[in-house]
Amino acid sequence: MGDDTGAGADGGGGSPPNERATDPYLLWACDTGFRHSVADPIGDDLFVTIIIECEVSANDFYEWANPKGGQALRWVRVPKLYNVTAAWAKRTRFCTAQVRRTEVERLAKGDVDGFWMNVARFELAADVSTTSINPGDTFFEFMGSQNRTYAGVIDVGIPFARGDYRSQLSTGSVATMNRMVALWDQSQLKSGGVTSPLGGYGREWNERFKGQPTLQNFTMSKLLTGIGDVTDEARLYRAKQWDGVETAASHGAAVLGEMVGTHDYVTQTSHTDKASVTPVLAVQLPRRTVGNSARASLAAHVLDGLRWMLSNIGKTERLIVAVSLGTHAGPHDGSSIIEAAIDDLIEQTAVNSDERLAVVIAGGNSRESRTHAKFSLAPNKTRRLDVRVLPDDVTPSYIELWAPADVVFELAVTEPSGRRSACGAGQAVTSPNTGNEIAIGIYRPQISASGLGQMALIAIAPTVSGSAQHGLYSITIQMKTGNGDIHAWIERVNSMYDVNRPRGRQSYFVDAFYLDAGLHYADPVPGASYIERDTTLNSYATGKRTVVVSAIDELQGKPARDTSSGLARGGIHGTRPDVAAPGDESVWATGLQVSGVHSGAVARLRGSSIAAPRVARRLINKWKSGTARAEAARIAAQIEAHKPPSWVARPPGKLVGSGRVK
Amino acid sequence: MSGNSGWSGWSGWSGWSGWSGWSGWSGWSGWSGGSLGGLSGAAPGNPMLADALIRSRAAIGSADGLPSLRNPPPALPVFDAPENCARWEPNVRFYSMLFDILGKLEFAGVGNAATVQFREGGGAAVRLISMSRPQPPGAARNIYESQCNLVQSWAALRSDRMTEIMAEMAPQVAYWSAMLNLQPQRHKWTMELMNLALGVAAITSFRIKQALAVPRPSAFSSDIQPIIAVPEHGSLPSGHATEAYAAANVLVALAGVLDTDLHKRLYTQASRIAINRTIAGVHFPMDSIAGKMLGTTVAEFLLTQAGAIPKWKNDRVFDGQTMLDKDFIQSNDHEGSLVLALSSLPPQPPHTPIPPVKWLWAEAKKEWA
Repeated sequence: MGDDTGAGADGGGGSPPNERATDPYLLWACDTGFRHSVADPIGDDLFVTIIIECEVSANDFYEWANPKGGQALRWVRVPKLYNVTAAWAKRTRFCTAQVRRTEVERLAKGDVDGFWMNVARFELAADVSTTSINPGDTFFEFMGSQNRTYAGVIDVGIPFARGDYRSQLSTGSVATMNRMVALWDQSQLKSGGVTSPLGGYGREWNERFKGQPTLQNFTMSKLLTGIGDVTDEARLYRAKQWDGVETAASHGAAVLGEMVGTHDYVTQTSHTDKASVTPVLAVQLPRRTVGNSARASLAAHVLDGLRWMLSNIGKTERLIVAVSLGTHAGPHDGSSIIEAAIDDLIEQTAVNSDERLAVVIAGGNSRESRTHAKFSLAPNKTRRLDVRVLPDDVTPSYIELWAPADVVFELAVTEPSGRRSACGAGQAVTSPNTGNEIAIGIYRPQISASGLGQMALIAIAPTVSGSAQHGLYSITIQMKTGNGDIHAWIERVNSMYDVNRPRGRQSYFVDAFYLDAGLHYADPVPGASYIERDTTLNSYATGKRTVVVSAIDELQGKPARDTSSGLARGGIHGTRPDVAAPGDESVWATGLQVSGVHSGAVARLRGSSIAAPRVARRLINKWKSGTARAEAARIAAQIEAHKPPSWVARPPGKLVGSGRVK
Repeated sequence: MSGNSGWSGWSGWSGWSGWSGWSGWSGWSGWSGGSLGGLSGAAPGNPMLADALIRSRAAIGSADGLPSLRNPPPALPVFDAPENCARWEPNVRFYSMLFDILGKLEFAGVGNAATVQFREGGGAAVRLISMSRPQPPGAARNIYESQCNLVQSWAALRSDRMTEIMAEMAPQVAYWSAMLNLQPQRHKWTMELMNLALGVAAITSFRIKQALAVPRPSAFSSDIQPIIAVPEHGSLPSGHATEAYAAANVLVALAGVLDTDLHKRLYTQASRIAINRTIAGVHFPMDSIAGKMLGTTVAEFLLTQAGAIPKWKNDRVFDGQTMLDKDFIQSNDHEGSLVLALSSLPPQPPHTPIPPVKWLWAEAKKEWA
């Protein structure tokens, strides 16, 4: 069947190359030898992760790569997550895969072995694997069902040994020492645990492995054997090379604690709600995924993580997942691959009109980051955007320009030195530095894999070693035909939480007319500047079915100054965020008390990262039917109707959605 | 008696590229805990102490008022022997060696170029380095404008680097010590050698600054607004860059870490120190490019005078005309310093190591055995 050298003919299969959706980031990676796109120097034999929207189904794609009775393709590896037998899984259309570098470069411009017959679009998820997916012989799929509700978290620094998650469940028919039923560490090159049977990478401990001949030594109980006091927790984390728990606080500890922890830091008493005894499924992200958001591997890990969690619950059981991470750029209309993938999962796992999966997403804290621009242009009019790219930046800078599909515009980029590069629609242009290394790339594929509409990617190499200049870059857009709003986002390229060394410096738009908003919700003079505070939501936060949460302060219910503001581009899928929840104590006391890493430890964290799991907790406690979005809105409306006396009048919907949650 | 704390007057030399002279060296306050315990903490010219010594001498001195000479008398040290240096206090050693080194250097200004050259014993002059400044402002897209743009861009890192910038206003002893585990007593000769290297570097750079007379970035743009006081001497070359690279090169040779990871780290450290001056708003990136060249050359020259290496690279030229949009970024690149000094180069006239400097080098080298 498949050619195991990956030497299939180019062309043929699926749409012709110039009609296929192309990922601009992949083109940049190909032009720069993947130098700025992956964590480790990449050789031809290494595999790169991609995230895929399939033509028919993920299962079909899996079977194309692993034909029954035939030889599996050696240049593409698909996790067994996408071959589970559950009925819902057969209907889903999104998956991840690892593709050998030589083939992924060929796929940017052509076909290999009929790949494009099975794929509608794919994006680089920029995780390079030194130990590629190991299909192995083990396959484990949970087939039980106990009509329970589970909590899921995908984060870094998951404190799996914390006392909250070791307490014996007091409800349910299954007696277990651990609330944490299963744990998947997606990091590579770590010892301990067993390679995740379904994920094919990382390591897993799972209470469900009990009784499985080759897996029974890797239960959560075995993992936690011998834990006594808090010093044993630290020793266990060290022994297991567990990332992100070396400090007193971690993002994962805070998120998990807000969602399902046993201590209420508001009343300083113990929680007695359903969430405090809900079983937990946890996915630990690789450190380099959060260490460099420019590499965009978060999407692939989130999708794999969600699939894995769903494969560990019964077909009628409910799962509420908090995802408090994200990026800046993207179409912001739900059409990105990851947003569509999450919507697809929620839709396919629903039973009649009752959703079983809720994904609660932090809206982000980018309102004041100056990473979003928006303007309208009439034909023959020109607009210039200025971007400040900082010195000593180890990460590339990416600017995504989004325009309606039917407009025609000219695009040019001027570097700080004055050198100008123009790029027409359907073209790609690169500009070298003095050493002939590519300093900037401009990519305008006819159809972008990133989402609906036209997307132009301007990629600027890191400035730390002189690959690109630092200073002011000017982007000039001249409209030729058509009308419409044009948006631009500068992708997040700093370190997310929990990483020791800062990795990147965030570029930002510059405009003399951009004014400080002070304590106001709106731009002081709307439309005065092309830098816009609206539509600054997390890239993952404009899908159809996810619950998006922004941050307010606990005391007055005012939106946090930096909480990302809705609207979606094109107004698709309704106003976002859906609801708001506390991310600060008050406008004067930033942050909230949250769980620290070790049992009993308290930390302080702020922002929508903390607001989102609080809403997730509400869903765990209350949600019984219908959609998660509707439930969240219902809870918020109820609370708004009887809001605390200290709360101000309800702020605009683009900041708090349907209302606020305590 | 209280020794070097009496030299606190030298802190007036803080004008030397922000080099606060001796007061920056806590090691010299060792007199406060020194072997002359009775004098610990005694300030110079202490009237009470003087009175006590008068009284004591009167009580125990010679009865007939004549001085009783020691028998045998102390031996006279050999005339101008380098070993005599061990007898003197550090300042005296410093000035004496500096005199000898500078005696072999001369300045020549030809056209737009400032040249430092070496001459020994009436022989031919041999170039150390030549530097010229960029063309005067006024031309389209002139170099100073492009350099100002870079300074403006680097300013974005001021909050990040503020504490480093301020700490680096003094000689960066703490930085080298942190990198190489230097300790004031165990490496006292190393410290003196470093001081000598800084002195030669500073004086050389000052002479070139005087000739090139390039104004500071803040003279070209009121947007620069430096975050530290602007030194009252020319911008090109950067004194900090000159001294940082002089120090790095001498330490590499002394510690014997040529072409190792530590060599690269010392250079990276030097480059960061140089860049911080640009971030602070007091130097153009081109000043650091020039300073790196000069500091490396000064170090090589000093090491030849110490007899440590046979030659220096004598064809380095800094051409300010080529500095359009030229940036200085953090790197461990060492421009082939010392390595090339030890390889075949165009012949240069013989030179004689300076005995005291050679002695100091030998003493310092023992600390790295």
